[in-house]
Amino acid sequence: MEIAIEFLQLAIVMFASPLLIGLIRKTKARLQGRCGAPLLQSYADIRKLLSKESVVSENTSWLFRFTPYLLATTMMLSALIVPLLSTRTTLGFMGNIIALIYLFLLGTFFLALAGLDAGSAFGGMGASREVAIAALAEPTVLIAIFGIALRAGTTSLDGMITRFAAEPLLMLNAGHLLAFCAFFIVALAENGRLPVDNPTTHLELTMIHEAMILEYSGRYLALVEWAAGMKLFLFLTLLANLFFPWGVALNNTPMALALAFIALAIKLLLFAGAIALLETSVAKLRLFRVPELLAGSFTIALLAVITAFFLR
Amino acid sequence: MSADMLSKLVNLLSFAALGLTILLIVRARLEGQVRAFALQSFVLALLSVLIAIYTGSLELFAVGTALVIVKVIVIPRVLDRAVAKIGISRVAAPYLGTAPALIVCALLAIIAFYVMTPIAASNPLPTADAMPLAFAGVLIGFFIMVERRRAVTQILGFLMLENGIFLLALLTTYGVPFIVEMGVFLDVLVAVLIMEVFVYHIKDNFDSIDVGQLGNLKE
Amino acid sequence: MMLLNLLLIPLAAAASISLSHRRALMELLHTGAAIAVFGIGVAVAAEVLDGEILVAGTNLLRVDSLSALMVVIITFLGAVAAFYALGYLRAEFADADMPRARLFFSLFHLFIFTMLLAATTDNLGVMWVAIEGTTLATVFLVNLRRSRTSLEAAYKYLILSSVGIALAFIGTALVYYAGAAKAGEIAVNWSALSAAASLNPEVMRLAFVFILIGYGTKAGLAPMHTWLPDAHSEAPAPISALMSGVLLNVGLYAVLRFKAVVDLNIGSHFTGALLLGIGLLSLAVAAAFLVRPRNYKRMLAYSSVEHMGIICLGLGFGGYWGTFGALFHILNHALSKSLLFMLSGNILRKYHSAEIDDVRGVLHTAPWTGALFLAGTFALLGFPPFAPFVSEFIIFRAGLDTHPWVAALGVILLVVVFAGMLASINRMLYGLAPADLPRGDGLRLWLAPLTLNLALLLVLGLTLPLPLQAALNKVLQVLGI
Repeated sequence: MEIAIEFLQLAIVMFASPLLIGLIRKTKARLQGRCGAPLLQSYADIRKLLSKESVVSENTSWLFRFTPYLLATTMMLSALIVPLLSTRTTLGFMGNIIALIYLFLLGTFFLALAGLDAGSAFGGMGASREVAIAALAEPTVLIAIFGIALRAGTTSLDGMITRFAAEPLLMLNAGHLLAFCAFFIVALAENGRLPVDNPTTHLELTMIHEAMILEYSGRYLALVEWAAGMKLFLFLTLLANLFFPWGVALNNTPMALALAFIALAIKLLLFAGAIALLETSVAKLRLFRVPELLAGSFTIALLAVITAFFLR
Repeated sequence: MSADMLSKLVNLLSFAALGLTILLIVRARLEGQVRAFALQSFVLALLSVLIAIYTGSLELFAVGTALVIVKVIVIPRVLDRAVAKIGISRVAAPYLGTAPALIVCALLAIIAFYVMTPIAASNPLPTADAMPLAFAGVLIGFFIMVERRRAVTQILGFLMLENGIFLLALLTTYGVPFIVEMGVFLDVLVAVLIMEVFVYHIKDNFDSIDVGQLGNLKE
Repeated sequence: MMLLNLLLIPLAAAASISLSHRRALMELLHTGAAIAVFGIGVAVAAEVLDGEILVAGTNLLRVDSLSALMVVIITFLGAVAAFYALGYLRAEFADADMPRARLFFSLFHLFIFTMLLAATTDNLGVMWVAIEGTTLATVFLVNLRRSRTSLEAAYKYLILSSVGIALAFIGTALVYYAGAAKAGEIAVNWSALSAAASLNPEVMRLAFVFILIGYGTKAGLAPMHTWLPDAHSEAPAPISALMSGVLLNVGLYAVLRFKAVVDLNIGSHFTGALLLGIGLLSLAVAAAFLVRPRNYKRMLAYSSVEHMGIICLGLGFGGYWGTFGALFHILNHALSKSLLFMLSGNILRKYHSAEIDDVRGVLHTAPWTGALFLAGTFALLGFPPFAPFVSEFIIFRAGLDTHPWVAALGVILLVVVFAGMLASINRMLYGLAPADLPRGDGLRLWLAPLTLNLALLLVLGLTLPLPLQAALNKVLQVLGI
């Protein structure tokens, strides 16, 4: 039974993440007064890319062709660990949040290397920017995690969700809200959303994530785009289920699972709307201001930890 | 309202107040800084009313009202007038950039917790948990006064320091006796009026409100 | 009734002066109020020393022996300074400059009012309000000249004092918290707190640290003294005299009140150690700057820091003699410092420069001023037969018993200060005066009350009159020693 849920979770992540991207894009377009591309556009894009020939630069090494597969694999592995629907899954015991963050980071690391691999100027630029942002965001993430882990008494995702779901006035807990704010800002930074990075920009000098994947084409590009979509999906699921744990199935009855599915859908819908709204209202930060934003989120995360230590 | 709920709400609002103090470092424009102060005072007034509802104390209602009148309406208006009169101010960068300043704020919060938590632990009131937050607000207000170079920002730092002290007294003992609170408000109001006059004098004399220029008196 | 009059007269004077338009009227109100307040102050003190404690308003005003001592100092020096200010203002600001004169006179009395309120109130919160009020009242007085340097001095004074006093409020709130647990709302009153023992020691300790830092800023203790040299040197002479001689003492008075309460609960080791540390630091900082001073008004200001340090040492040494010496020194320093500052006003008017290098041969060009200045300096530096010698002797003698090293270090620093200041003042008083300076004191009449200061210093140094001794003993009783 639990293995079935695992595969269900994996399937959801694999197949629903392009839909999430399309949703964000469509909402943004509507907010800006445009019609926007159809909801299922991402699927069409991936299919198109899969059928095209992939052109690989002669100056690249095995790393370049290996990275897209690594990205997809780490994302799928994370999908098995993150408690989407239920807290009782087979591989749940591996669901240690620190391990999860480092799975994400593994993908980022290799992508940065791949960006450098082709030897192009933009690839190098994108890689250095991405790594700089990651270097500032990772401490924040860990401290925010410590904040909530201290309160929950465990770093296991399942344990945390179970603990939080049982707490009544969770939303009034200052440490919880602070950790959420810090985590949200980091999610924006890690996934290359505004105000850190504009995902729809076509100006190379303003790119961070896009610049690293500039050299990719064909099936490699399809994998990389798909993996990026899955990363955003997983980050939002983490935010939704960790900080607003209602609806997650604590036991594996079909009723609970159905409820979990609907709850997840609603939460992700809300988050997608929020991100679309945010992206419509703010402009991209100039690059040297990004450390200020991340320092701010670091302060927030530190306050969350202090709260967990000292306040009841 | 139960004690636990009051405690949680008080924590939330105190964090909001602290966040607004930190916001003073982030916002670069003087009008934005004055708004942050007005909002913080409003949050504190909400807190006093909340505690007044819990304890049934009429005095705290009066204190909350006075707070709104003095610190949300009158003082921001005075400061807005001063900011408008000063106009555009070309001032050198503060002594510490925004990102390092935010890190220092986090460190000051840790120090505040270290100092105040033993006292808060022995305090039986449900609002006592947020005492370290109020003290952190005091320390950060003090830091802002030292670190920023514009005279108006120094004044705002001082006002936020006073707000932090008011909050500390509110959380520790549900506020000090009424006559003292009123006296404190009076003092703060007069102090701000005097500081406003001084900002005008400084602007007239030195043609900028950069307090770094005030360095002529030495041994 | 008398007590209320004591406070209402300066307040009324300030109000009526700010409304008047004729110079003569202003001066009349000013002098009249100063003398009246002095008279009432002495009467209040006499009654209190007879054994009565004056109370007014429920839990608002309460004058015991310590308050009475402060009231006498404030009103006496207020009257002397008021008299001198009359002459000073007439010389400095011509009749046409009425707004400035009006500002000066009204703020002068507002200043006196806030100091008296701070000294006579029983409510620690109201004392806080009053002390912040003294800052607000004096800020414009410091900036009276409206020059760049006085603006800077006044702004620094305003900001630093306000921050310091705000920190003192935290201390007050903490003491109130500790007391309210036992005594309820009246725990903000000194009389109630001085009767309560066994309050939470941790809270008391933390509270005293805040109080010392906060009110210590107002009292000019290092390292919070940085506003002092600027503000006291830029202010007009009578105001400098009052600020240095009286206001600093009011700051120390606040610290003393809290020390009595805190010592009741945790014994005097903690507060004593803190006071010793801060006293020694103030002495050291002052000595460093007094070795080669360049500006004589700043020199006098640093000397104030030094003497505040000595008083703190006395309080830190504690016990009967340490505190006795400290209290006596409060009185002596007030008398001598105000004397010197007012005389420095004369010197400034004559030589138009506050730099020591520009001033030569004062004894030649302004003999009365010079003679008084010389005598005053001897008094300030602790020469016998003047009173400060006696009080400093008492303090350090008490110190040698309990903390010999601290006392020895203090004496060494005193000698350093002595050498530095005496050398500078000698250069000022003797030597060849600039040829073009007219001879004559100027403001000679207005200096007359200052001879009273000097006479008092002499008398108190030669004998310790019995009434004074009894009074100081009563104060020590109030402080629980």
